[in-house]
Amino acid sequence: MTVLQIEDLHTVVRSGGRDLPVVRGVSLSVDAGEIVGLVGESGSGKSFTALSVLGLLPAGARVTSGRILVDGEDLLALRERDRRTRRGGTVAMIYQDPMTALNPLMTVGAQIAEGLRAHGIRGAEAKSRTLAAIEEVGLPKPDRIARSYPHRLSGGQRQRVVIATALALRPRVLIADEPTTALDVTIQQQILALVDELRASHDLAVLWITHDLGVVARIAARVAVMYAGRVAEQAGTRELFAAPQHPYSAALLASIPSPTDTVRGPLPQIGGAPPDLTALPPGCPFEPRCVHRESACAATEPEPVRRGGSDTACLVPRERWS
Amino acid sequence: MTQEMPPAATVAPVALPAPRTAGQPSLPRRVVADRNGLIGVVLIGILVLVALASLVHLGQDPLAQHRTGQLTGPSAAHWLGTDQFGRDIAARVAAGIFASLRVAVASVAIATVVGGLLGVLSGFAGGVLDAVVGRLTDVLFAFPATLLALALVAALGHGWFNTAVAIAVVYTPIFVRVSRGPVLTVRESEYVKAGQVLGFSRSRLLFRHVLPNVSAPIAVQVALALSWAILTEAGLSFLGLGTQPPNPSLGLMVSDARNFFPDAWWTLLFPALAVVVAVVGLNLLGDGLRNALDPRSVQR
Amino acid sequence: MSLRYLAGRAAGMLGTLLGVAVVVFVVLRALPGDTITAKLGTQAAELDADQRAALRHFYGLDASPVTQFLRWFGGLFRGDLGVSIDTGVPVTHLIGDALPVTLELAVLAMIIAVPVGVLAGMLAASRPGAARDLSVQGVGLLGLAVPEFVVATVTVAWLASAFAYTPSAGTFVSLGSSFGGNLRQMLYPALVLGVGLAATVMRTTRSAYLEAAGSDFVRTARGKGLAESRVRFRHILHNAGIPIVTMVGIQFGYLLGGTLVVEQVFALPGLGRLLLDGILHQDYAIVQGVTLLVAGTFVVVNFAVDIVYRLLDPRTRSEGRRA
Repeated sequence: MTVLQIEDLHTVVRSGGRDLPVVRGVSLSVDAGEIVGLVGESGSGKSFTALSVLGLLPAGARVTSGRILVDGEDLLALRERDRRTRRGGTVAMIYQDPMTALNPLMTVGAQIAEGLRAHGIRGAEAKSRTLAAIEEVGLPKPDRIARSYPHRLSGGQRQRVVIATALALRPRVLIADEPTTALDVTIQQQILALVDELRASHDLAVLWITHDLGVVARIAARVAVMYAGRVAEQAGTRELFAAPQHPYSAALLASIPSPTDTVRGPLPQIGGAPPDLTALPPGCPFEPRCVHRESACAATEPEPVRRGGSDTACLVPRERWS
Repeated sequence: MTQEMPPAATVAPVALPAPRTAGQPSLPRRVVADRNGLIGVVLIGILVLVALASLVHLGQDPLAQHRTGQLTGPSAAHWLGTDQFGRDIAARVAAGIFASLRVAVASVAIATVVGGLLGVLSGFAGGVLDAVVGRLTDVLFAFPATLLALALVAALGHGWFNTAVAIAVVYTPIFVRVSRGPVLTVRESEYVKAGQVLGFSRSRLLFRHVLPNVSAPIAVQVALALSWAILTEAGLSFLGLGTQPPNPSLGLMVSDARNFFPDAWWTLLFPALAVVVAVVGLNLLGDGLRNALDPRSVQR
Repeated sequence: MSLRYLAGRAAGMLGTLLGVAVVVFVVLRALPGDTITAKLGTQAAELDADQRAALRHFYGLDASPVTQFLRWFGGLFRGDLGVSIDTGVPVTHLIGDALPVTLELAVLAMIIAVPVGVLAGMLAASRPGAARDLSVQGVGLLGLAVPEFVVATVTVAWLASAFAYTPSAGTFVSLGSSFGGNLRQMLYPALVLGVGLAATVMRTTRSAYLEAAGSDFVRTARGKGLAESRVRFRHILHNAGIPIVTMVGIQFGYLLGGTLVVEQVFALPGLGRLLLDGILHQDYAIVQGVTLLVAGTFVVVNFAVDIVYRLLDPRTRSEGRRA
């Protein structure tokens, strides 16, 4: 069952007196109990997509068109007051750096309970649900953790607290903004396992933002690859890794070091610079860097088509790749 | 006043401050390119010109009294009016600006040279000298600035140079701190260690590497110190502890104007305005310097 | 905060206090030259050598500077700051009368300026670069650039013409004798003091608030669906509070030595007036006493601010094992 559905989302950032398109017609859906990886370089628009869903765009950025449906309700059509109650309530987010994501001057328990109170849960119930949330993310002695200030906790413990804060209100959608990149490898694995476990037990729809395809392979059922504010390719994880239908996805996959690589040569890199959003070409935005480009690519921006189990915004089928 | 920028458009890659190279425009050029810096330079330029004009007696005699025409408003004969003795306010304001600038420049020059040298030397030498200078600095910092200036004026007596010395003593510790910090950083840096390995003399290292790094924060501090010195000089004169009558001084003029305000508003407005323009101008200039020296500071 | 840190800071503070006493002694006893000449003025020339020596002995000026310092310094611990040469009244009595006036003035100015400055700083920082920010900053710069003596003079002149108020008319009403009457005399001077203070607090608040508002945990707070007002006060302002508290504490210390102009213009018998009279009459015992008191208080206030600062922040409040 589809929980989160993004339809033709457009987001702009006001900069130097004009609107810079940072999200240009993104459509995505995430089912209950499903993790969808949202992959892209910095500047590809993946974070702006996530912040649009949450309604936490920075000053100067705004959604210009599109719909964001959660359980059929369009978040963009809500009044600000209702929008706020959906934050945390139906859509929650966990963040990249657990060291800075918590208020250093408040105890962990107070920070979790504060979110509950903002949604009308008070008194003893707020307290018991705070402790339950801490316990659920696998932290020992919830009582003691609740009374601790963040600086007393390790990075992994803090990330668990961030997750507990996000899930205390039993949201339907969880947006994970690279929550493992700032952690040690062993802790990373624990957090990945924890989110996967909670996804299953809460029937959560998870949108996992990352630039790390290795993490995606491990956790996501489906992947959307973003480039220059659009979804370049959307496919099942297995399909994407087996046979990418967009040259950009292929290039990203080629740049992952594989343990089975026998040749110890340099990893292939994507030549050229990421697109300049102030001066996008009329054609495919990846065309200037693409090794498989054809003459038609520079003329018009391709719309997504169904090809080989993927939705790919590329004119050139895999068979024609040189 | 630091000028905040709108939150950076997150998409564009953040421009890192480029290391200063020979190809970049010179410091004065960059200060003028900054909006605050430009306004500051213009305001201070005007004041300096007015002060110089008073020096060569372009206008009227600031001390000449007139039995008739006392407390007259601005007119063609007296652009900014006259005071209770019929003296020309314009000439007195100009002379007052000169007096203010003289004290400010002298005091900041003393504080910069003494404080800067002490800071650089103690930072570079370390040891006993550093400890003694550091302790002395701490003790001077323990006094509220205005109080220390007052006590020193009380001890030294009146006169523009004594006022300048008093203000200089207050500001010297700040220059010690400002110049010592960068010296420590530079001293520990790789290129100075490398230089020592290569056998360059300490004094050569001092001049080649330390001074350029110290001059930037000092430049900003000089602008702020000048503004504080002007305020302090005016305040001391207002209290009768600075410039003595009949010599013109901005603070004294405001003090005299008390009894004629608001009827003879020009007696108070123009000297007060001169102080405000000087302080605003120097603060903006300081901002301009800060922005020109460190692009990152624009963010905050 | 460990006891060890506290002890170290306290020792440092005592060292600074000693240094302050030495500086005050050197500046105000050694520099002004011969106290007898200063006191007797032209009459000093008529004294013969014996009389002069007797006077020097009476004032303890024949001892070595170190002995003189030790005597003076020892006197401090007995609450003896010397006597006013002009009136013969002990300096501690003069200070005892003047201190409450200045304290009240400083506290009133704080009560007025801190909320105004904090709210204005928040207002400016809520939309950096917008019209409201630029206007608040412009007013703030003016508040700092217009000298206090100008604001005070204009205020008194305006009060005089509008309400026939003259500061010298009538005598000072202490807080104890009439609360309302005292407040009427203190309100305007406190307002004048508050102008520059509010501007300083505004600037500190603005930059601290902007810094805190950019933190990740603020996004976390919004992500929980908190009301914007709660995000602003509980999360942003609270975190910005540490530099603000520090600035306010230091400003309070400054105020004790910075009420001179206002007390002079409004004719209030506070520490500033006492100090100024001492300077104008070359009554060095008074100048010495007031300077030492104010500088000493400033040191102690700074120490207290540092401790409060550490108590406010759980990261420095206590050490111990991790959870």
